[in-house]
Amino acid sequence: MTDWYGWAGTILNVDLTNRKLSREPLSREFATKYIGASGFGARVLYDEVGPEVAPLSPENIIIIGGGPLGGTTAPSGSRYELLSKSPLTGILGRSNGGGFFGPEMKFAGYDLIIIRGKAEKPVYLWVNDEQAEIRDATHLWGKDAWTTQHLIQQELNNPDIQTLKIGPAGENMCFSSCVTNSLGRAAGMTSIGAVWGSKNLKAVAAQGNKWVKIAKPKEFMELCQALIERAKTDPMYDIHTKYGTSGWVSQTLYKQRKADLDALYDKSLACFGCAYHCSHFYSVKSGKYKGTAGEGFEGFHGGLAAGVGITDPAFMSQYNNLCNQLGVHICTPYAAIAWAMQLYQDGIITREDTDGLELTPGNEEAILTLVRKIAYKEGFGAMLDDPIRGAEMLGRGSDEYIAHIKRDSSRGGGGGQGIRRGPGGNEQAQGLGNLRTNLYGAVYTRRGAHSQNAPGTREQYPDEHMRKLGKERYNDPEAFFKPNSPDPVNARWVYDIENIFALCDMTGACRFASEQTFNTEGVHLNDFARLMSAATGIDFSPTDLVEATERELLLERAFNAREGIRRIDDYPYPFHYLLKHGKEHPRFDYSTLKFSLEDYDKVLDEYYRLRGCDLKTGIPTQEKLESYGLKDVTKDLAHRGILPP
Amino acid sequence: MRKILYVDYDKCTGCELCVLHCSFQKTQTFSRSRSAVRVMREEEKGICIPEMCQHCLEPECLLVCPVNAISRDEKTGIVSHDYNLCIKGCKLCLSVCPYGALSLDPVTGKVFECNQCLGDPVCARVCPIEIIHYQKAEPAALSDKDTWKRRLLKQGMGKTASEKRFASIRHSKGDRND
Repeated sequence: MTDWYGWAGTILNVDLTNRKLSREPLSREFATKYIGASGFGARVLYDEVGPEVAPLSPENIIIIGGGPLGGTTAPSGSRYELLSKSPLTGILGRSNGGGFFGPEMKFAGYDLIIIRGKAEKPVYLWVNDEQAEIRDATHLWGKDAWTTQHLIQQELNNPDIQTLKIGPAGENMCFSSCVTNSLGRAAGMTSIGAVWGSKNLKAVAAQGNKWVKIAKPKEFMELCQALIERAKTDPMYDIHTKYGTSGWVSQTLYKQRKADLDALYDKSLACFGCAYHCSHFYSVKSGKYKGTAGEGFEGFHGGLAAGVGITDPAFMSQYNNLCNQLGVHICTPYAAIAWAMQLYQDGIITREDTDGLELTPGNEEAILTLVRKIAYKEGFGAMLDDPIRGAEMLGRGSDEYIAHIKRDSSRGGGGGQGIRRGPGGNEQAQGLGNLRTNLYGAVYTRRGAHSQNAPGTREQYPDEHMRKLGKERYNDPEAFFKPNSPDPVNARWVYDIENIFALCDMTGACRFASEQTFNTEGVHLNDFARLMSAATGIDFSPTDLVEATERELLLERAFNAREGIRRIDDYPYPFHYLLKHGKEHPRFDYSTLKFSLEDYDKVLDEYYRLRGCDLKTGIPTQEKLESYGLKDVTKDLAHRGILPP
Repeated sequence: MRKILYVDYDKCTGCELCVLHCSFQKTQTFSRSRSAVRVMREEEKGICIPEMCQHCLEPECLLVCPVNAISRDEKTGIVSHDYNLCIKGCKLCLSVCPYGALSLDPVTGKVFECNQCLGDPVCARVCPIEIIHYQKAEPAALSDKDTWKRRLLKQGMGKTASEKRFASIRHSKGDRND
């Protein structure tokens, strides 16, 4: 076998049904074409999981992928990707996590772990260099995520073990479940924890004594150091490194509760190999949550908690720990409870429906009780697990209180999807935001995600800085100052940001760390290309990388197209509703909109042109797919009769 | 003059860039296990402690080595292995180190020993928040060290932590064939 640089060079196939494991060498052509992590995952998922596969059936698969920059000193190469068909949305499910698992998996010698089938009894996978085994997890079933990690480390007598695991929420196949790694980190989006539960897979533990080789060590190290030094000069560096996402996305938290955040703050923490240390250790020093301590919470707690009438960071810390232990995706209960509170306030539900809980805004005990109920699908909690399905159960017009994108309502309040959610809502929770933010959130292949706020964060930078950048990048100093205009530059920017983020996901680099410098002099395509070439020894040009990201995003869009996603699903919710039902949403005030449907359509058309999608359906065109070497995909789409003419 | 690596443990973010750079310096690869630095963590408390050879005044490893392969340079204070003598694999030095700071290279069987990069330690150079200081072993610095040690003991870390570390060393350094 030839030597691998950057990549570890091996795929681990796990068959839970027959309790069989096999190692498979990575093909160099595959690696060059799909780069890693989400790229590998999207390809495997497209090939193996068709529309006929139900998300919670044994035929669905779990893919855990690391990228070629993972485990190195490349700025923040600590991420792993988790893919499956999502039980929540029924389309492509993909989530990303940081911490230490991704690198550890590579040090154990694997780029990709593919888990198929269903175990008869609860099991966990132990990956340690060449030794990989499926072990009994009967004693771990029912335990929370933190206990599970301790028990596995104890059982295998090794505190260096990194684990991905589900809590009770995943075991109960909740739509709000996530996969937790370390104690305070999670791959939360798209409910992949439920897939783990459906397969009786409690955890994946990894520890490796191998290493990652670099093709051009000297060049690589110099580049890494230069990038880290450059990032330190970023105007937002100090805020980002101390407050993390709280200083980034959440104006509520950072601007209004800065003193409280400072009181909770103990120290900064970092993911593996990351100089940005955007995570933090919080402990509550006084009040009723005194003694609560743990890593994180993220900034979007700010916007979401406002929906349930909470602004207290101490509560957020408590809530965050509870979610992490139960394996619940932190966004979901906030959004679902805000929905229930609004229903309660409007008299659509009463205490009889809520198991006797008083659902008034700011009722902290009720919120924490409901999080537990959601994780165990108990009583009212079963309805809140996924509000869309809950509304179907409940009826009484409760569905009119839900906004969603591609059937995911957990971010209904944030980043511009419309429909006022929760009585406590702040501006962010009710408004629809600007056109650009909405475009980014709506065209996203997975769901309206929290990274959707990304183009908006640029506005935190000084104006001069952004003008200079606009001139450099788009030859238009005002490029970043017309977020509601139908100017094609908005589509172009969303397209660029999507590409650079997809590249981060494929290489194993961190979006947050790369993104915060993307628009400055930080990590951008040239640097990525140089990093990748030095690490892997394969000559990647910036164009090659853009091609790879386009290929990956086309695959994702093709996967979704096969599941029935069309142009109408790429609209922010109020427009989606308008187009679907031919009438305005009864609870949305269209006069508050900062942009018109016509303008949105123009920018969406432009985005489709850039992405190579059919303007009518949003499905990738034959020409585009074939120019990226995806002839088999066009065949498949044609066979299913959905290839655009 | 004897110099030591002094770490301000309170602020360590646990990013392990010191680990990666050390492994790169020594092996030209990136690895957690092929490094002279290891980061011990207590996740619930947010504690991260980079551990490297302390070049003790009375090194336990030196005392137990059955073939006297370990020596201490009185001038620089550096404790080092003589691989002409070392058995490469008895691991006695690993198991007695109170810091759990030593580890074996699975490829060569040699101990990853910290030689302070011959006067310019890479860990101190690359630490992004500059908490690893390469400084003279002055009484002031040493008393600082006592302070953190006492603090850790007070938090119930001390012994359990090194016990945990030993378990890890025994496990990850190739004991499974024993």
